[in-house]
Amino acid sequence: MSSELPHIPRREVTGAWVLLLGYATLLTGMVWDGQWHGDVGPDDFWTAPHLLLYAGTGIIGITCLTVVLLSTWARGAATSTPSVTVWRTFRAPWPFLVGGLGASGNLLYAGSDLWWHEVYGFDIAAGATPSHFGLGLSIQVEIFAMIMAFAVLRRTRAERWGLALAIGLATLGSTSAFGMVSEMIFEWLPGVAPRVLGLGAAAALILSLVIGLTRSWHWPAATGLTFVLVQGGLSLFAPAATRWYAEAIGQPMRDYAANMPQALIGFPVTYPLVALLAGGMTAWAVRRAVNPVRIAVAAGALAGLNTALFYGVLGILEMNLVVTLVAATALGAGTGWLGWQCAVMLRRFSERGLSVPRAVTA
Amino acid sequence: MALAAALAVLTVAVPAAAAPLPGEIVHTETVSMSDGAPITVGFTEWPVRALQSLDFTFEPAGGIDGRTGLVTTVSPSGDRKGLKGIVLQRRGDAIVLPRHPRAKQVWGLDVVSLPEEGTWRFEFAVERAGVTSTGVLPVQAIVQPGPPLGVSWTIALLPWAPVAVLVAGGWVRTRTIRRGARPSWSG
Repeated sequence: MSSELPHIPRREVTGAWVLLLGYATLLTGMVWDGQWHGDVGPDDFWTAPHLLLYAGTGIIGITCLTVVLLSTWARGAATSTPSVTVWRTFRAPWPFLVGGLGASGNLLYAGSDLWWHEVYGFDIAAGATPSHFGLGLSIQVEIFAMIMAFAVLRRTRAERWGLALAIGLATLGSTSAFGMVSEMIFEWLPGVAPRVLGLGAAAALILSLVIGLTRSWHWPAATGLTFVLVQGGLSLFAPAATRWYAEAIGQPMRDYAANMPQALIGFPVTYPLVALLAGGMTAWAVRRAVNPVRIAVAAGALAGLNTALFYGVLGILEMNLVVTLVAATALGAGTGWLGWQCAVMLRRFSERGLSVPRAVTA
Repeated sequence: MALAAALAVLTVAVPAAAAPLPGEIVHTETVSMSDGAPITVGFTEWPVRALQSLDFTFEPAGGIDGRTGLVTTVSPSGDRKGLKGIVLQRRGDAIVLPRHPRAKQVWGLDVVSLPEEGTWRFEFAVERAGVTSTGVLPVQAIVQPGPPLGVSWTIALLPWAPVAVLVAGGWVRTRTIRRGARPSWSG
């Protein structure tokens, strides 16, 4: 990175941190909702976990709208972050345009989800519903927006830790959309657990994205640490909050509900070891001047392999271990390459911040 | 005397085995079992519609104490794990019946659905003192509520079509940038 710090307006810096807060709230609600569905079962649509989830979406949506309006009305030099002029009026920095669209989609699909549950009830075990699929994809868009917002920053140590925390949250949070999409795409593959492929691909994409963005061993390793904090924190919170909430509204726990943290099996707990290993590989590759794309691909393959091994050993998904292992490793390698390509594009976001501000018209 | 009268009233007022989920069970079916002790199956929705959530209660004659209940739910297309549920213990294909969370005196499944339209087979096995009795209940799931699933999925996926086109277009347009970036560890 250049020693010259790109100028980023305060509204975008503050906006990135509030996006992080909004997504952390959303993810907390989502993990709590999953625990609630398993241990107790929904009372109605307006449960506390649902409200938390949508409060997070609201924070993201309002933040994005505020940043876009402030960018539009700002005096002086326009923002250096790549931006789009919407309807010839609104100047929207990309991360906040994407985040706003994701939040809008999230709220629209929330409306359709309310309708779905009124018509069909609350059984969600039979497979992904159309409204949950839309919600999952919209939330994934919000995740990408949060990563984009921090990819633009990365100027100070605090901002880089912000990126690491965003990545930690994104890794656990991506399980929903990637799991559903992979179940839709790979269901026909014999012997393979489609969900394992999806989670492996998510881990691979995000890990190689961090390697490509930061080009340093510290930050892939740091995302392992932030992931431990996110998964550990939510594993402590969700079962306790579920028990407390069930008592508070007089709902009994299910007979077989062990109140065990579902977040621990929602994504491999062994992932931080892969992140550390990816950090080690990066350090080695930097010293030996190995082509970084190879390291991104290798880290992706490792993330896929780890996911297949974790669920193979856990034994909660029906799969042929060898077939799933090979498929997840291959897909992880491919997604690792994709993560590197995305990082190349995202790095231009902050590099362009050093040049003359420009905006494109949409 | 007053105490005796009160006890007499209580004895009359409280039946020996209260019906589970009063006000919620709208239909019951009786399953003949091979040992002659039938199971009463309660439904909170009737008729059962495909994909629509409901609660089941399963009450063997003589109560659930000392008994283990198993049910294998066979879908119309032959899937022997047709009913999924979130927190279920299984023995092979069979669900080991839990107590119903709001009616602990009986077995039950809460917030579950039969995802396929047609005739389902609930194959029961009740174990008591090493002896297993069996019985079968056919359950008809009529047409699902709401629009056809294909319509719901099309409407839900439609907004993502332009997103996919835009992302694919952007990916192609930025190919030069991505190919032009020299892979290095610097920066």
